[in-house]
Amino acid sequence: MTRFAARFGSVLFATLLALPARAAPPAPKAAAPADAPAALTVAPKLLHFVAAPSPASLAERGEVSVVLSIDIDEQGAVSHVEVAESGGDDYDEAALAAAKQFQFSPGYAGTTPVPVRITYRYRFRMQAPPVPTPAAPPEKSVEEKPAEPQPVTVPFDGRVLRKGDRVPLIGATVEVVLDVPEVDPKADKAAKAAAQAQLAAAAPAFTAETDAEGRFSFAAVPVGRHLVRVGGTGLVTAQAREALRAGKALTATYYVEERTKYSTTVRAARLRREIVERSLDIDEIKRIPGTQGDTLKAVQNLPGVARAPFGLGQLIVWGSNPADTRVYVDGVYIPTLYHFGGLRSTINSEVVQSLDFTPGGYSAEHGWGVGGLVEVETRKPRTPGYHGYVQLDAIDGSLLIEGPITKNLSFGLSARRSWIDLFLPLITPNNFQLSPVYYDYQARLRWRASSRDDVEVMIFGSDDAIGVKTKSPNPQLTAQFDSHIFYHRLLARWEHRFEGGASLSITPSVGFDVPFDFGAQLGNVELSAHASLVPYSLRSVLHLPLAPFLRLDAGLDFEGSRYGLSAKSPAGGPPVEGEEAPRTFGSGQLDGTGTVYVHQIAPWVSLPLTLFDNKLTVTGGLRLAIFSLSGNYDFPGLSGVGVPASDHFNHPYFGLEPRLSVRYDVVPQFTLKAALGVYHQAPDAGALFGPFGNPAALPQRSVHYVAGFEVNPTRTLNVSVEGFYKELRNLLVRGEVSGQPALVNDGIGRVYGMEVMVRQQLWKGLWAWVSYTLSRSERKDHPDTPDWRVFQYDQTHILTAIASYQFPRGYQVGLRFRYVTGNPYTAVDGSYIDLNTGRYQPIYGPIYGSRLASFNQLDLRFDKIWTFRQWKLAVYVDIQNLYNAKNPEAYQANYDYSQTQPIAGIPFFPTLGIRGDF
Amino acid sequence: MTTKSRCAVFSWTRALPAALSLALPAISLVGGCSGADFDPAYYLNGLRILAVKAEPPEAAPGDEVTLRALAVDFDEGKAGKPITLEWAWCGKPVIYGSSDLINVDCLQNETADYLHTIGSTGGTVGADDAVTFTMPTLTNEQLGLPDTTLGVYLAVRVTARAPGLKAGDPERQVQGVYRVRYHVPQSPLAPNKNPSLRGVWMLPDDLDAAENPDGGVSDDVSGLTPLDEGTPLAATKQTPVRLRPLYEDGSIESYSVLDGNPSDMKVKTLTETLNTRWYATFGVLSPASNGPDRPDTSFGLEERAPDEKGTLIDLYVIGRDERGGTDWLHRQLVYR
Repeated sequence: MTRFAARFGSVLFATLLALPARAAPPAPKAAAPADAPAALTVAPKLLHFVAAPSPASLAERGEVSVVLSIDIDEQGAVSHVEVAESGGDDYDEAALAAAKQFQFSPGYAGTTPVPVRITYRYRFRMQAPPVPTPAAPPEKSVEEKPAEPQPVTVPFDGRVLRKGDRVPLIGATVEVVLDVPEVDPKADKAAKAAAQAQLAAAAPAFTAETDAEGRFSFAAVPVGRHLVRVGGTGLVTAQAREALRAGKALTATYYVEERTKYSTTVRAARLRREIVERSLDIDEIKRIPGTQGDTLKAVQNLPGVARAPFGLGQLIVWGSNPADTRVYVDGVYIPTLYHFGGLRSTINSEVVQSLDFTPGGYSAEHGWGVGGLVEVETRKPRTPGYHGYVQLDAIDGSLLIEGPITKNLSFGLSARRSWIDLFLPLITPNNFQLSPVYYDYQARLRWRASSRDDVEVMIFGSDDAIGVKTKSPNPQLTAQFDSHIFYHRLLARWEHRFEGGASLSITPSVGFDVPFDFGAQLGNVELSAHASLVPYSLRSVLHLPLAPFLRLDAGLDFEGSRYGLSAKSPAGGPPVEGEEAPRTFGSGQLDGTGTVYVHQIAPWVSLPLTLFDNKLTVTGGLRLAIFSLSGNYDFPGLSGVGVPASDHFNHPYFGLEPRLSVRYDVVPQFTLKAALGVYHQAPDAGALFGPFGNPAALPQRSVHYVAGFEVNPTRTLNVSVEGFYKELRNLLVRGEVSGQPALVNDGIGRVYGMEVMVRQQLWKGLWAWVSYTLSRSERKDHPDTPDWRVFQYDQTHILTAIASYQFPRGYQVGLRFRYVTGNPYTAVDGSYIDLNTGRYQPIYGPIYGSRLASFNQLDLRFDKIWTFRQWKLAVYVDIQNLYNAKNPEAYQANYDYSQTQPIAGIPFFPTLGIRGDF
Repeated sequence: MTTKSRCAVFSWTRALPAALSLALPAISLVGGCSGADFDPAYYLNGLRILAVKAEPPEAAPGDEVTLRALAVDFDEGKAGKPITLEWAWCGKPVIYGSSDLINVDCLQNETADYLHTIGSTGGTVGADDAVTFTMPTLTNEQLGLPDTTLGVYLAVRVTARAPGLKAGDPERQVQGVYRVRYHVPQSPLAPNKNPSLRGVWMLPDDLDAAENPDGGVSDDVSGLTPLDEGTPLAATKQTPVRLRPLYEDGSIESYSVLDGNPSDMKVKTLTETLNTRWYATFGVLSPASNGPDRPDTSFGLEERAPDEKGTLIDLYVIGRDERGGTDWLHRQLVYR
């Protein structure tokens, strides 16, 4: 008796057609241009498969196929399905209903997610019958005629998994070649090769494709010794001999290696909307030399990003202050991208799915900063099965584990802790030792509530503590310094994909930060300051197709915070950009507290309009930035400053932020682009306290202008060139006149330059990029100042060249070379002794009137990966400053400033790491 | 024991997070920068102004003030050339918000209408001639903001000049700024007085380090050996010596500052903190600057020892309060 227990669908990407790329609406009816497939570099992958119910007639028909034409939008959602080849009404209807619920990873043309039309064969197949129990041979009867010999068959099924991490491979082809002869092991080489070639060419008797879980199944395969071939696009064909015996079903698992590792990166479902956006391939950038495999540190190698001194990892983008660049993790702002000293990112690279960097001119979806934009999207935990890794190197150790909890609920946990504090004292040459300790963690839950709804909850954070202690045995020398900085975030995100291509995401978050917490005892002088921040935010984003040529993007962007400060210190304030020494405002010994509330909310709308066969995309946007700055402070002991020692303040500010971007594909390989936008940034909360700043401080304002072009000479080679100009207004600078607050919004700035990026994506084992920026960033501390001065981090030339080559057998070697103009600094022209204290005081020359010598450095990285069936082992050596260049990062002076010596940056610094992935 | 000098780090401190940027100057203040090979500040080898003492250290407008400077010029332990000191007070206010002690124009110009010459003195090592001037009446703008001790000051520039070390070398010059505390006529508070150094004693080797576990210092000098300016004690390369300065009674004064909101005119009383700085023509001092709780220093000759036995080693001890009060002592050791 035959019974139909279930059915399964199989995938066949018979055709992959990239629909018009770049912000095109999901237009199911738009015809694909004949040459469009050439632009598609990463095909969509089926992430979520929905089984269709089997019509009753399947029992009679055995196997039925329905060929579907599926349109997939830039987010990987199914926007339209139609039947291309009918399998019958019942089957068509069932397949259509199921396919509409599929979820794919987006297809990519280069780095751009594009709408894609695929042909999909949905197979209804009768599942394997139960294995017949061999019956006892019937007793022979004289009358009975011998039966016709029937081939004995058994079921054969199994899974195809990616070698190393056991990720199910969807759409892999499994072929069974019957009764292949054994290759004689004693045969000569030529004979063996000929036999192998013959095997490779042998026609299969049975063929199947793996489903969404990597499963395949053959209902009945004759017993015997057969060859099983497993392959497919991007896979290294593997083959195995299997012996099928009568009465014994065979279930096998095949581990298959992927051929082009870097093309398998699954990107977050998001829309490309920026004119100058760098999207980084996570697997690729993990192996950039000098970054110790840290994904986020790769941003520092992109054009438009200046080099931070000592490799501290600050993001100095297009001549802006580091604090002007906004970093978001899943849409939630984080204050610190790097741990102490830029050693590591505060977000584990392994949970990062995509990273997009926009130096300026970005769309209305984002604001609150006048610098660049970094968007980190975390990936969903890997399922099925449990996965993870453990990594150890000289700096820290980290681990991750992830997997399913239920069918639709998965989790991910990761953590990292430094141990550099254990051995740093051994190599610190001077009398003072730093004792940095950091850790970070990420815990995620992802629930697939329905085929159209995803809910994610994530809690993550970072903690840096640093102590400075003297190694001197002299007990009379008392000096200590302790600092503790951390942030924690809890976010929840709900994403809903509407039928027809619209989508909505809502992300609330809350956190707790300590931006700084330090106490210092310098002889008899005690300083202490403690700041805490409770940030909260809500971000909602709607993408709504209005017409084939028009989409509405809109949302609400809210960020709020409560900033508390308690401080004990002499009146005054730390230096701001352009100052070398702390400043004195008012007098007295401050000992007080204050609280500042910064609330900023921006409704925004953006309309991407696509014209002329999608060659022209014009995106107009508008953002209304509303700020509310309020608070109170009480610093008794303050006098002589232009604001009261205790005060309440509350003032709103409104800023209209129009944004416009244009892209025009002159030919498929050449695109012109331009953008402009207005941006506002709230003053730092600490700057609103009267003793140190100005309770009436206004947000900074900036206008970005960008224009450039992109050339794609080949599928994997991309060249982009941009020129930029940036105006800065309302910068907070020192008040110059008695009676003014300590900070006033008098500063202005301008930044101009150009940048080039040549990027070779993985091609025959090679990937490389060269980025170059030529720029000038200038400031005037007061509008009537006659001359512009350079910005603190102005760097005329920034050149980064990276190349990496994959050798066979898991070897990879990479090089990175950097050349950067030295940072400006304010030289000391002379000094005098303060005879009331015995200490020397410097007399400074023109602000940033001198420059450090240029920086050059070569880094090398070597990776070796052993890929086993179920896990991978990697060893890497990352060497910074291969030829030990003595790059001056600063100068140190003697007691009276009459002599100086350069302080060199990172010396030859090798890091050895080991890592296991399962 | 470190011999690295204090050093200043500039040009990159703001590259760091706020807290760390505060740490770095702190590190440099208390004594070390990686890899630096500078002479320490306490090592006297060249033209230096070490201290200025005003009598009285706080004066009201119209009061006469006598100024003396301790300026030295050593060349490898030997007294150098004659020193000329030029004195002037400056009436140009400091730039608003600046933490400068004096308007830089007062240092970079030889003559200006805001520069008022007081006089000049001269001598050799430790020039001790005095100049006298009358405290002028200053405007609020000239006085600037009060410091944490509620004091305002008149900035006096002192320039020390000495001929070049070799014939044909250019004249050498260093500058210092001493701020004479300005006694506001209406102030009911008592003016500051200079502290008075009683002497310096050598501590025996076996003195228990836990003599003052809480850091306090005993005035009892029994069992201690005084350093006498006339009969220098021996110092050897092998054994560092511990030195302790003591102040005369009454050196530590009390003074009042505003407490809380200035408009409330509430005051609180603070006690002066005396700071001692050490200088030497040879050897190693550790620490070279210390407060009242742990005033002892260690003097050793494991580095920068004289070439010849019998060489005299000059020690200068400067005592200061935080309101401009100053005193100093000169002592000698002999290298054995």
